[in-house]
Amino acid sequence: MVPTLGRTLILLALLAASAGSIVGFATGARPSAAGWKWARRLAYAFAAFMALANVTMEYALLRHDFSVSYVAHVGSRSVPTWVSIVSLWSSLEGSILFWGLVMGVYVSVATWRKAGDHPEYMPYAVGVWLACGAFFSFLLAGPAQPFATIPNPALDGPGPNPLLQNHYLMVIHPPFLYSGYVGMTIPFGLACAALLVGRLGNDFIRPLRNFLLVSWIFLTCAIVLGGWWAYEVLGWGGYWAWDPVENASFLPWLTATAALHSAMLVERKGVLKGWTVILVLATYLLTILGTFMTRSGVFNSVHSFTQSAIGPTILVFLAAALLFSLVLLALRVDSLGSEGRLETGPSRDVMFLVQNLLFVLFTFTVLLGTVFPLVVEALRGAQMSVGRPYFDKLSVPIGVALLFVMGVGPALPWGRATKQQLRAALLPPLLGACVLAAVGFALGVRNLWTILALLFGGVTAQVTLSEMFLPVRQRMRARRGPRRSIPAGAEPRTPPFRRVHRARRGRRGHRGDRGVEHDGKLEGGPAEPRRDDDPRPVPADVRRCRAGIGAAPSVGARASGRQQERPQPRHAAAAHEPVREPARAHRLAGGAHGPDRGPVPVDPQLRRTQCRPAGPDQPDGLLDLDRHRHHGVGRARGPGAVPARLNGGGSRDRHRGRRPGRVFLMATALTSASAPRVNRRVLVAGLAIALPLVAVLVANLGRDPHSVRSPLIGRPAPPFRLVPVGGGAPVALESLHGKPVVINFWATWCVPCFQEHAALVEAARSLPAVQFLGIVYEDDEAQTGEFLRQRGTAYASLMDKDGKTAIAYGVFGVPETFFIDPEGRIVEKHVGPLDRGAILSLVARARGGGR
Amino acid sequence: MTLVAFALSGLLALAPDAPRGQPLSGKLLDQRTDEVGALLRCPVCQGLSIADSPATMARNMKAEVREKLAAGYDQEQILADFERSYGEFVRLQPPVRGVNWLVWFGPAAMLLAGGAVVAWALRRSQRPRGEEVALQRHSDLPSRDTLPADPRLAAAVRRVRMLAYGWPDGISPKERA
Repeated sequence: MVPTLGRTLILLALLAASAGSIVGFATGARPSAAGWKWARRLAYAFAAFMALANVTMEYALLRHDFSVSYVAHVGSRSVPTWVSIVSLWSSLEGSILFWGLVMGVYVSVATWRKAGDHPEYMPYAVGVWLACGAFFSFLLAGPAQPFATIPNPALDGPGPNPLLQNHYLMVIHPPFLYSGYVGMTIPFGLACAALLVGRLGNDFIRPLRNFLLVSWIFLTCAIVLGGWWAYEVLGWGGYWAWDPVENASFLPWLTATAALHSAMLVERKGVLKGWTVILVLATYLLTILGTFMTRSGVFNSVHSFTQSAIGPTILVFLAAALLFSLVLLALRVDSLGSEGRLETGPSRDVMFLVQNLLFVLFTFTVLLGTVFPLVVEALRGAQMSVGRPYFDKLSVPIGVALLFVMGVGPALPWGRATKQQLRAALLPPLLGACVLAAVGFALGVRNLWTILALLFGGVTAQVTLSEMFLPVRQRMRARRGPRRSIPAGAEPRTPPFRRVHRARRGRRGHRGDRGVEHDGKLEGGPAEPRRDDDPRPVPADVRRCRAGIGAAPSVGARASGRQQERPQPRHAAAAHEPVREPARAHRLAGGAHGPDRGPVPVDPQLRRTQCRPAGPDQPDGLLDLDRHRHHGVGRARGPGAVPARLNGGGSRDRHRGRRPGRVFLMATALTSASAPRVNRRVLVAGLAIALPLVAVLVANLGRDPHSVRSPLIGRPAPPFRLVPVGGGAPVALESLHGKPVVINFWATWCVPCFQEHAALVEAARSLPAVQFLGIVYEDDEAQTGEFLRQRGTAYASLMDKDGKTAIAYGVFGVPETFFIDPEGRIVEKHVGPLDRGAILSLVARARGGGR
Repeated sequence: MTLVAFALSGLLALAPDAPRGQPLSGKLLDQRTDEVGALLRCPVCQGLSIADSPATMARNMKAEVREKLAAGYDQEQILADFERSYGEFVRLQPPVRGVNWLVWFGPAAMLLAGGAVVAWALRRSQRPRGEEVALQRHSDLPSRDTLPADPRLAAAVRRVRMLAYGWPDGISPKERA
């Protein structure tokens, strides 16, 4: 009953996800309220079915229902209850089921939160999410079925892997890891939606970044917990061993961090939209690659699962997702456009670009190192390792460079910094850091990288601490006295890098619409569009506001109930002026010129300031009428405000007259954005990375990472001189020259060795012309002697006490048998137990001299 | 007798696997054993080096490394020795030969390429973008001094331009002048 129920739930989840995905894409192409409603319902249905399937599996685990295949695999009556609960995610199929649960939760939360927003993007996003959900449901329904029925259930099961039973981290690490990993699907869907719609509005980058941030937080915690677990349980002696599966969790983290920073630039300046989208897509694709690396069994790893049909299935999905992303990017990334300008010269913009470069470089290095053994095997057929020493050597310089960027970046302004600003910002931390490095040197540190790390780390620490306490200092300064009055006509003087005096949200709610204090007089609010040749300097508030692209509408304006419908042309003008006049744009964007003619840095915390406008702050391309409409109904986004739903409420009544026009214009925008111009650079670069990667993975699909071919075949057998078990004259290999030799490495603790012992003894008796020898591997002499006395033997067994002979022969384990020809060359190495037929055929080959 | 010993030692020195380095001892020996051990893969473990692994095989291998270092073999000789028995698989750090150049110099090449891309992006952002860029994006849209024939549509277009560009009809006074 339980298996059937589970299978049914999974099939229902698959149906809901597939249908929801189709409905989502259809609604995105032809917007309709009914379509959106159904897409949402199907998303919730998918989440519900997945959750129920997980509950069913937990029920089966706790009830020890061994008729369910997964429970028969990992369940046991003799483990504590918490282990039974945690077994849900301890093994292959169960972990995919858990993946489905986490995805269901994320999709339903994201859909619910965004039910009323961004109507042109969300159906596409839901479509993409449910398509991914459909794939994982398909995996659960087909290749990785946890609910298969066992016809004659056993009374007890083996329990999960013992390594996973003895530590409480097993309870927290996988949920965190999955929350981080699977959570990357949400930003992926949002980014795909942006590409499908053909633009990335400044109000849409915010949810994209928020969901990315949530997943990123979980993934960071998971990686830290994993390192801690490795240190405690696996005895790696360190937190991170660059195991392929660990790298699989690390790669998406790297691109996600780069994407978070790049998204900040998008929010702030409207640049790098395409690049951010590329990073978000890459993050998701890396999670799929990571899950392939973990579950396909082709990588040498502590965490490796055995090979199954799951590997090829995931590879197909990876290829499909890569193709989809590449095509979408090539067609649409140009239409995302860019609204601002990156600052060149020493500024935070450049630091952000350098940071992105370093993170992408790191990703590339780790990916190359992890996949390289497969590349070599596909090309040369030889098995090689890329291990910890390689990764350590390359990641230390990158890490030190990142430390540098982390320190210098926040110290620089968003605009181009003058020499004085640079000096004031960097010199004090640098001095402190030099002291730190000198102390380190004095204490005996001689490694160059360590000294550099101390130096840059010192700068970073000081800059970060001063940033942290900056609001405190600001507040103290504010409380201390009134603001200086500013002479007419001059720009208000702000010290370099000291943040412009911020209005805190909520406290001074009405500054936005009352105007700013300037010259001791209150300036009026925006009455008419500002003229180009207006001699008055741009008021500080407005200047700050314009720099904060995408800033939320002011609480004050809404609270005061004014400015509901009036368009704000001045701010719209500010958004478009930068395109034409860089200097003026810089000024309007808030980078005012200080008295020393250098640009005054803009408050980086601008996002959180209030901005006066109610209006389309930064229209992206032609149309952000929805945002305008939101303001019109007093849609609040601040904390504590109740979100007004788009579909319901007064908006429909008030804007009824406008609606047909809106849809028409939206369609115009969509069709104009979908002009099929292919960005060749993106396409070529993407294919250059994707095709070799997929080719290498496909070529290695059947690979067994544990079988390593011996390099000794065809080479002279290494000489040895060992004493037989129980004492006696030492036997040397040279003395056996002239007849074929069979050397069998074995041990009494090895079960297959028992099985082959009889066959070997019988073969030794029937082939007197062949010299059989046993070499005992890592065993006790007395025990071996006893074993041989009981079982009888026809040939001598030698003791390899220090293991040197085993090492010389390249023994990986027991039993391994070497067949040597009369000239002393190794003809064949057989791994595993032998039977009579195998012995005879291999001896024949040894006799024939290796032919 | 000394002559014979001298000749013998000379022969030994000419032997192919004669130690190339200096014999080590004491703390330096321990340190070097750890270092060389960190470069060798434990064959019976999953990804651990013999310096880190508690397995018997790994301990035996580490003892052999120690012996060889004490006898004066240098790192490359020891690694080559193990490679002869176990294959390339046992070296945790890929030696720089053949296709392995790709894994060692790929990241450096990527850094250069990435740096070039960043420099190009910064240079491109410095160029005065001008109206051409805005026009490029909307090249298939009608220019701003035209209006569609349908009056309701024209009114809608004018409103949109006002919102989008901030000036009536989307044309700033400067453009009009």
